[in-house]
Amino acid sequence: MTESPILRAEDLVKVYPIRGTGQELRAAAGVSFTLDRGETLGIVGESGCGKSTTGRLLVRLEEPTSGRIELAGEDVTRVRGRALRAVHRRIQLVFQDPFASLNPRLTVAQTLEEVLRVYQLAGDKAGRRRRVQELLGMVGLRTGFAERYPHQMSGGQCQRVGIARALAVEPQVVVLDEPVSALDVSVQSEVMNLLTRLRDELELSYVFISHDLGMVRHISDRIVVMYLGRIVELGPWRAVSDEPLHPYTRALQEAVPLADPDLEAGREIEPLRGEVPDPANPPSGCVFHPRCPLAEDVCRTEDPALLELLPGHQAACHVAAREVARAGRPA
Amino acid sequence: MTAVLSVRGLTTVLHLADGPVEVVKSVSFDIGAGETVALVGESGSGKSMTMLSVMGLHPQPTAEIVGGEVLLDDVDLVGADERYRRSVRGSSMAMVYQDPMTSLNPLMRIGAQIEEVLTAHGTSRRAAQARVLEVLAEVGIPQPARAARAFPHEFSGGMRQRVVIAMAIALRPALLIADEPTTALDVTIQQQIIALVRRLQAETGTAVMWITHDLGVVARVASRLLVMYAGRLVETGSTRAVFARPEHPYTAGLIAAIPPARVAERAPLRQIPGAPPDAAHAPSGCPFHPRCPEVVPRCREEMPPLTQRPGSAAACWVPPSQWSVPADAERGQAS
Ligand SMILES: Nc1ncnc2c1ncn2[C@@H]1O[C@H](COP(=O)(O)OP(=O)(O)OP(=O)(O)O)[C@@H](O)[C@H]1O
Ligand SMILES: Nc1ncnc2c1ncn2[C@@H]1O[C@H](COP(=O)(O)OP(=O)(O)OP(=O)(O)O)[C@@H](O)[C@H]1O
Ligand code: SF4
Ligand code: SF4
Ligand SMILES: [Mg+2]
Ligand SMILES: [Mg+2]
Repeated sequence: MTESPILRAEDLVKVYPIRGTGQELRAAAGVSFTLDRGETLGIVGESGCGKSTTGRLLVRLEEPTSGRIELAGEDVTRVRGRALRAVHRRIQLVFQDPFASLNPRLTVAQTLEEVLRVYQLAGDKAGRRRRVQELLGMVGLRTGFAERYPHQMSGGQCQRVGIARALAVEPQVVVLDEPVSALDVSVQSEVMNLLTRLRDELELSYVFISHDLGMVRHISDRIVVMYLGRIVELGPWRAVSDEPLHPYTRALQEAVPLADPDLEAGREIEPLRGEVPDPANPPSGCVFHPRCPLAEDVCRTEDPALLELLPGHQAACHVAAREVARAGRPA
Repeated sequence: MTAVLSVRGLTTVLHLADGPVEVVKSVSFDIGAGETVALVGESGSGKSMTMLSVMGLHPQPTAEIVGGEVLLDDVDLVGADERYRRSVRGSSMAMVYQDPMTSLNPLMRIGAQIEEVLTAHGTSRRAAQARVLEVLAEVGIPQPARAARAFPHEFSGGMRQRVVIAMAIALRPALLIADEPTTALDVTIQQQIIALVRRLQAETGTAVMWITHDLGVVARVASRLLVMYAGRLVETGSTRAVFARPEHPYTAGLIAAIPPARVAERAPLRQIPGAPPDAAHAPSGCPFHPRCPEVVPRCREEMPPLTQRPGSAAACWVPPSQWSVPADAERGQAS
């Protein structure tokens, strides 16, 4: 493909000061990837690994400490004012908490009309009204929902409004930060199907953030696995989810249950030891080494580079790199 | 198998501003010695209220048990006096909550809190102190002596949950009730807690009732499951049988809504239209009827009974052989 990616993140770093300590925390510690047009890139990892930080940087709700963000080939890393608003017309964020992300005092119609007014879309008042109805239709809400307040809707319905609000500006890219995590199980599949349908119909590109590898696997073309602010693995969805190269991804994979209880019953679970270390004091060498079942001496001193070990499939692991070089696959 | 717990027709109402509502509706089940049973249902279905009622810890006077029996060692706890109930709590059955801070006093050292549970049930102080260190080690807390002197805030969420489990098993109860103990934890820590409970169970023979909304957890921990919807049990059976051949359309929908692992083709997920009602606003007849793809006119008027079959039960008027959406429809094909 010669077409440039719709979104490119290059060595993104976000450093937060820790209040009252003089210490710093690298919430994103050098994150690089590309997102092709129409592609869905999943980002998976545990709490605090930097998924939301990365998402906020991508949509430029925050400015990275260093690194570069390109939207359709254009450097948008530090744009401000009107240029930033133009960026927000092309890339939007959907939040995890469907209630908290809506203004409780505005009806659904008011919420959506507000966005249209701010971005001067859909013409006059009548035009905005029509567009609101169209947006509600797109996310599968009856027109009656236009007059409802957030507290008069279920979680799934609020999340649909959140999606409609993101789509109101006709973006090319939508960053979805845990869009189904707060929803009831029976409602999650509905929102997942809606997202898939909208992506295909509107030719959207997604960054889909979740701690649930099962959900990420379901919707992504490629998957990024993060640990302590770093990408530890990146590759095609099947390769990463079903034949992971990195020991951390393998631990996440073990947590995804097999729907077949016969297989599940016979499955040994060997949970990772320990917990995610303090991101303000990351371990030396490979940041995963204190929890890694495969750690060797070199892992304690040398930070493994993120390398393309198989076609299109990168991992940051000394042992995986050696095993793939030797046997063509991970140990 | 001898039952450690038999619940019969348990019914609990909440006295709310606009009148009383039943949130636990004639719930019956047994838990055998050493067994792991999962109680599955969505938010508001009545899982916690059921097990709080069993423990006698339902929020009184708002919540009131108005019917049924909770038989523990052949004694009905509903009719028993509070002193007796207190004596079995902790020693015969103990509960672990989603938020470990529900069970922990933030101002008290961890060792002292566990010790208090032991001495309240007649263990001598010396024996209790020794048991505290032993039980902290059992749940995999490094340096138990140091941990015993620490306060809850010095621990991570996962470690606090281990402390609460230590407190719950200190008296070696015959039944451990775990109410979503892993929901707030990271996936790798969830796996640690699941592995811990499995190991404790193998070592001590404790029966476990695992409350969860996560069918993945069920497949992993439980040999039998109870599915709850709007305050009622709608399906029960062995985990294997229910996953392979669900007999209630709600269970079938829940199972099919999970993205299947290891499949090459990703089909749209099965949807259940609408949202779960809370127990307080359950529809008439079969409470699932507004969302059910198999609904027939009778469903709107009459509540189907939980029909017992050998080893399983389902509350549905329409047998699976007549369903329009077969239980395994729309599942991806394993490659
Ligand atoms: N505004 C901020 N100021 C200081 N630290 C922050 C800020 N935002 C995030 N952090 C820290 O940065 C790290 C990454 O946080 P982030 O929210 O990106 O993680 P996440 O992967 O989205 O986690 P979760 O799964 O819990 O949402 C965490 O250690 C967090 O505490
Ligand atoms: N203290 C309370 N006061 C009023 N209503 C309550 C109270 N506790 C629970 N309820 C109601 O009782 C019903 C059952 O709640 P319960 O907590 O048992 O559900 P659950 O299945 O445990 O849900 P979750 O998965 O959200 O924990 C719900 O309708 C809930 O709104
Ligand atoms: S580099 Fe070493 S410690 Fe890091 S993941 Fe690979 S084997 Fe484990
Ligand atoms: S009784 Fe009727 S509405 Fe209820 S689950 Fe069965 S078919 Fe569906
Ligand atoms: Mg986040
Ligand atoms: Mg509950």
